[in-house]
Amino acid sequence: MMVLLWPLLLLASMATAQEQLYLDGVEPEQDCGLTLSGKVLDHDTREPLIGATIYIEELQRGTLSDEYGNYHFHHLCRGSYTLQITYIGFETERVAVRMTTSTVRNLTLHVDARQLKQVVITGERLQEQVQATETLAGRELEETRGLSLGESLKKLTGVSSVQTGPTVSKPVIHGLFGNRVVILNNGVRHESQQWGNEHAPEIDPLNAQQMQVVKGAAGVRYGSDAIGGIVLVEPKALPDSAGVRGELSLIGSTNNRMGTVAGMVEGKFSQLPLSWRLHTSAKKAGSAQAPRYNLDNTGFEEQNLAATLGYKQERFGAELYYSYFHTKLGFLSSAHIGNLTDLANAIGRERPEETGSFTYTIARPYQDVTHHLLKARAFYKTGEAGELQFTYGLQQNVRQEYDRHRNTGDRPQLDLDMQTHTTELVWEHKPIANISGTIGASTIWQNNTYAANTRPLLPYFINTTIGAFASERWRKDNLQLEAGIRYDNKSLDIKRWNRTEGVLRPSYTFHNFAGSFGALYDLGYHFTLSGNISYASRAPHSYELFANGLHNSAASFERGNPELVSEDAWNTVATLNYHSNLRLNGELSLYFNTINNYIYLQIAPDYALGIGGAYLQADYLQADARFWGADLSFDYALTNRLMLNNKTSLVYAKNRETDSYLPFITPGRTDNTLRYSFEDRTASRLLGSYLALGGLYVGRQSRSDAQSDPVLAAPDAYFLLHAEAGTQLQFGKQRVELGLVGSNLLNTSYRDYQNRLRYFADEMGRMIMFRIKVPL
Amino acid sequence: MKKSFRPYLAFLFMGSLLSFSACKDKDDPEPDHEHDVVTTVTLTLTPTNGGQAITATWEDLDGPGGTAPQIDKLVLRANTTYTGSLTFASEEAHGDHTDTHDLTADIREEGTAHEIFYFANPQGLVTITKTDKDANGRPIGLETTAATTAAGQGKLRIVLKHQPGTKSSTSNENTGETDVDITFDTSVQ
Repeated sequence: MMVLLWPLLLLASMATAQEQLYLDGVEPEQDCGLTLSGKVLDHDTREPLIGATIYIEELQRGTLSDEYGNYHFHHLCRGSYTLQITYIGFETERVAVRMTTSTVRNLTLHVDARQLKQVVITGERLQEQVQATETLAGRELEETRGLSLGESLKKLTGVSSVQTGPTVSKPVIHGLFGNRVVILNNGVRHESQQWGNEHAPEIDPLNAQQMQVVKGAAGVRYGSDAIGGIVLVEPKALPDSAGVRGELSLIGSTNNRMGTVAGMVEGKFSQLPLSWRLHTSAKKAGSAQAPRYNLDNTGFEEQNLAATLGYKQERFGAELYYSYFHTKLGFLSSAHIGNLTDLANAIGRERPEETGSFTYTIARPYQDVTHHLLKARAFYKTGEAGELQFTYGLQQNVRQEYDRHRNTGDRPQLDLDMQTHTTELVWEHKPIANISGTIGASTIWQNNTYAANTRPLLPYFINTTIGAFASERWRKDNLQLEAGIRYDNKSLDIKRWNRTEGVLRPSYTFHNFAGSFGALYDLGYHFTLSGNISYASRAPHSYELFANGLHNSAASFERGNPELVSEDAWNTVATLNYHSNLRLNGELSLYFNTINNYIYLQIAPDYALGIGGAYLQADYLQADARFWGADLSFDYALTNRLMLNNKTSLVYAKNRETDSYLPFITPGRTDNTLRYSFEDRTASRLLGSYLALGGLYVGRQSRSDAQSDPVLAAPDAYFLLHAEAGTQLQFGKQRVELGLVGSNLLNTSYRDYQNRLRYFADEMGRMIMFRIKVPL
Repeated sequence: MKKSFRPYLAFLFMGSLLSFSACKDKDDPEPDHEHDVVTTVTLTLTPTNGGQAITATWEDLDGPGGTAPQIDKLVLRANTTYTGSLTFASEEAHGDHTDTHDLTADIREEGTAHEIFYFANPQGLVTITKTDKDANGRPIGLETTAATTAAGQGKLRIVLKHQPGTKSSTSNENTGETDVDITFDTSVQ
């Protein structure tokens, strides 16, 4: 049993070197050209560790060790640095380095016998990927605390959101959203009514330690339907050292006067290989304020609970996880309209008909959604060969929507209940002749029903999907190749009531393939070039096939099309990464996505007539489409303390058959932020303080016309000013983290193209959000 | 031996789940119907000087789209005054029988949030005056008097507006949310 040992620090020889340097008379101000390099080694075997992360905390700069275990940092200035070295399966080390001259320092790590396997997966993704990925973690994630999942992910380049008023936000990746974006919540495919643009993912972002987005078709690992991409929401790994810890967060905001309390307790038994965590949060907000008026009935509340119990031995481990999510979301009262005349009246109004005044009360129309997730996971190490993992997930999603009708008592008008069982068996095998990979199989069984005498917007259905996949990675020298393939067999059995024919039972079987081939080439110390071609295929959803009902917020009568076939996408992405530089670091990603049989909702030129008058008719159509665009993100260090950050994304989309525009595509956007990091003074109680000011510009969706948007032309471009600040306070041994985030600081009145309520009201005005986090 | 046995165990587990789940496929959807959606509007006009009452019904059982609504023609006598009453119902066909849920009482009860508007085209074909009042003394329009003068042909449009919080002395047919917007072909003989 190895006792914890610090790696070889060679402090004594460092001190000697420092003195020598001063003797040489090198001027300190010219000392920003120092290099720190060395090898990362396994302490026991002395073997090099490939892909270990070495991070300089003070500079927020990181690098990975190469295939020989070598790492290097260039352009370092003289001074003291703290290196954090992390590697999967090893204990994280922190090493202090005092740089006075270019230094070679070998770093050794100790095997972590207690490491949870779950971390292994995350770590693998942290390494450079063939496919374009973005990660929201650390400071950036903290700045989103208090926002919904969809709003939080907008921090990432290439990710935007489809909104319904200020309360509902769904992630959009490269212009694609809804069922094309697969969300993995703690390793389980999140299954809910994601066909609805006004249905936000039922996930508590406060429980996440990291959110990762894979951009572009990525159907191999989690389901061939991931045409748009994958969102991975990962909670923190269970503690691996004995004891009990906790954390309390308080978040508040102006504007909608939101208040959030979140608490976490976790621990590990010292005698047993058992660890546990309990996380809970509660949120309440009143009606949001646009700059010129109150957005009537836009308050919301949310309650969350998550409990984890983990058992971990060297070769075998298991985890049980349960989470509960409940939300009640008010809908803008003036967006609930009857017919086309009402819609025309609403569009013609300068401000919504009902503005009311601020209140926490939520009246009709509102949504009430509950989501339960139970997950059981086990792994078994198959000796030298690799590891077997089995995951079972049970989810129940109950969605109730309360329309604003006459005396309906407490009854909802839409009441959907969906149960999903998912299983997954995966074998991760260790490298055999430079090839490592994952082979697995998964199943989904899903049953959707609705309560009697509620709106039959979506029929009863049972979805059974069985899939198998293999994904392998080959690595040699500077080149890494990845290839994967998947097959899903999906059967969909629908039961719908027809007034004249009784219960109809149409049934479908879809065969969906997914595949990918990618390469990553290390062009030297500062450039990596990666490219990926992937194919994914998504079977139409029951809603797209059989939607039949009125959508009050759009005065539209939505109709499915039972003749739809699977849509399939060929997606090509090329990414150039420029990294480990003193001043400029960044990434440019170009993509080209050809989607055949792209399914979209198009407002028809003719009306549906009913007792309430004329409604817009929106039909699900299918066409060959093309999406292309670019994501650019870079950091430029103007000085050691001042950093400029840019995130720009452009999306283009065309209907290839008619050469016309597609509706509801993300307009181009660019966000530029200047961040100033304060120096940590030894005597000061403040640590890691920073101030940031930035501006977001979203262009007008000029690629739209009367055919793509017959109701109302796309709104104008807008510019929003935002600011962030944060620090850590040290009271003796107690640390307190403080943060402040301001959005729409100029209180600009604007409307967003991808907000479904753009016909009716302006977006939220200025909001200042403040947060306090106290580790206990 | 043991190693290779484990995956089979897991697959068995998955298989048993599927078969367990498949057994649950028993319940069928009930006849689909929302009790709050108006399907049927009936206008009843009784001559004040006695005589046969006239009823006209506008009915669309399957909602927007689908089968076209059944609309009666409204035939009135010239130079006559009628007492009018309007009813709203939600009906559903259950194959062999029809269930009816009356919504008129709900509308009357929530009178402060509802108003019915009548528009004759050409103007004066029939003149409708609302005679009922809500709790705030504002007209509702379920009870009316209807008066005709000269003979003619035209249309009568009836609009039910849901105006929660917005019904006032200045509210009109453009205020609030439209629940019903129907038109009867009308003939005054």
